[in-house]
Amino acid sequence: MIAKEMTIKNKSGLDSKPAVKFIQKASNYKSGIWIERDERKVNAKSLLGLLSLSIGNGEKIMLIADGEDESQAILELQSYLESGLEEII
Amino acid sequence: MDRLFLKGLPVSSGVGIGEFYVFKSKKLEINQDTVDKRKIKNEHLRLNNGIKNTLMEFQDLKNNLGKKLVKQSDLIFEVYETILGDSFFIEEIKNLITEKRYYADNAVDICIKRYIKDIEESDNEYIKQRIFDLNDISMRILRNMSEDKTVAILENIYHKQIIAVRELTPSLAAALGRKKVSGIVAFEGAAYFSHSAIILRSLGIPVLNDINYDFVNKFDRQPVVIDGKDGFLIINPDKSDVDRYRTILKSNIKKQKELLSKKFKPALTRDGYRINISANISDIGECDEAREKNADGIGLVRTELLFAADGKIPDEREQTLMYSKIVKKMGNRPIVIRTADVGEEKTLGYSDVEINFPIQNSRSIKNSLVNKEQFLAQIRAILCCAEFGNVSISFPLINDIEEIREIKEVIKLAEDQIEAQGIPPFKRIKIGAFIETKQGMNNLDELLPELDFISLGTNDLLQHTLGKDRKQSRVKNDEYFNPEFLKAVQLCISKANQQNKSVSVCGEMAADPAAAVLLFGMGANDLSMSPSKILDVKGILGKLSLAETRQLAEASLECSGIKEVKRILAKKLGKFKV
Repeated sequence: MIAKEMTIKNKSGLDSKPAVKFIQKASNYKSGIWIERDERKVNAKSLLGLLSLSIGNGEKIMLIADGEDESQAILELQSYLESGLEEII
Repeated sequence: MDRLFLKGLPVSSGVGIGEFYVFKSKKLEINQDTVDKRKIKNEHLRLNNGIKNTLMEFQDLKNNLGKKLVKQSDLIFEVYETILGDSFFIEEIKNLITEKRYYADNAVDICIKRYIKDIEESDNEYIKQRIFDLNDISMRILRNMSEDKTVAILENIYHKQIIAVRELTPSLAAALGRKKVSGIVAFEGAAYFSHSAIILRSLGIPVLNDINYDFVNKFDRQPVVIDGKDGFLIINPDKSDVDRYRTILKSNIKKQKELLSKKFKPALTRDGYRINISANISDIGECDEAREKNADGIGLVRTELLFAADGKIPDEREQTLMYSKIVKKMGNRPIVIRTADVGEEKTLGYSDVEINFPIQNSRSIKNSLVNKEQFLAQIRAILCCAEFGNVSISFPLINDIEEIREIKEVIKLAEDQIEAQGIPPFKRIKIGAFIETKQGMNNLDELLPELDFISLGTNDLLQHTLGKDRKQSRVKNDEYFNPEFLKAVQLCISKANQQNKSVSVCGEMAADPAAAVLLFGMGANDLSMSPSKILDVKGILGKLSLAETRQLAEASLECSGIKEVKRILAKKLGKFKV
């Protein structure tokens, strides 16, 4: 299992459209993937789960992956969360 | 009967006179009993069918909205489809049925309400807008699971009515749009950038948001007038109200006719200065409309939407044919073909059709550069259609010079590949860029020398420039009149003009007659807009002199806020009924 802390940097936070993209990415991995914030942990392959965290701009989250391809998953998803989202500000 | 004036937030303009109809969403009885153990399987089945039917219903709605709305509805429906296909969500509901022995409808209701509660507690205004979508989904699943699947209340609605709703959901907006109702007033759900408002604006139906449903629901079947421009709802209007609004309605129709009669004249100011009015198009139908309205060219071919209408990414040959068709239709008029802008907002729908842009990153030209084969193929297709007319190529969301250099290498490669196939060398194609980010704007000085022209994508630019302290729910349609934004746009225009590069403004701003006047006054000679707006813009520009537009632009740039800009514009343009 790998857990990594990161900060969401985009205006609307993890709104539905970036979240849909994130899920599509996360779903490509066999590993279980979760996002944790303030002791709440949701399945990161579920749109409703992500939306219910209502992650806003500048908030810290923990990205967790567990499974055979966990390290690639963390790498790709982190780069999406930290850089990719900026474009849609 | 008392005559009442109510003020709401105008989100879609136009005037409507008719009978008030208070829409009551059907209360669905939710069975809160405990399920008999033997029937649990049956409830799972009912859930599956409910979800499947809801998915199909959304597909139907999407298809029935017609081609014009494909782009907007795609945005909405991808989110819906993802939620309905969310296996964790469905598993959760199933667990509630199995473990808590809830009936399927009760389980859906409880499950979605939990998510809504979490979202309500947050302070993320963007995500809060999604609550309307979740309610919409929940209501539809419940209805699809119930015995009574009819939408009986909708059946009584007809075009001469103005409809009051508590919460305007996108699917209700679409359904009312299809009924061609005379107007809609909503308590919630119809903020300017809500999915519902977007749909109704494209259909030209007047809409107000923030109209208190609990207050107006007493006036069912009373005569009303809706004014989607100034934001008024008049209940029990007197004769003078009705006469006044009837005159406006008539003059709107007359204005449309008048404009139509002038359509074949080029766009000129009153004192004879020429303005290029081009069209933004997303499909061949809009290209026909552009020709019909005598557009001076096509300022933007949104190729990603051409593909979306087709349901898949066409191969290179198919793309060449598509583009050539447009090019030939436009004769020798200039056409700007923009490579596919695929990303967050403009995702291609049709998830069940094989559509395979391996791009799942955020919106950026970098996606295209990473996904080079597809990018190359598109560029080759554009280069190949260039021989039929006056074609330029442009690229979305350009931020910096590095991107342009990389793009140019790809173009060079594409040219070499075409030549290698033994096709004789063709004319050099003009290369442009869409400036729609702050970064792109800041880097304009070094970008311009590398380009033949630029296009300002004001919709995205607006988000980037004013995005900072803006709550989505409060964004109004006139934000582009913000003097700060006007200054930013003017800076781009004058930089391009100084370097002798043509600059065209694309986006909702160019399609707003009053804003178009300012843009022309600021030195933008090319405006590109939805073909349906061409006649309006031509009309207003023909009533002013060049000097007048310049004065208006100068005065607006000095204003302290949106209100002041609008006051100046209203004073000068009011008599033309813009």
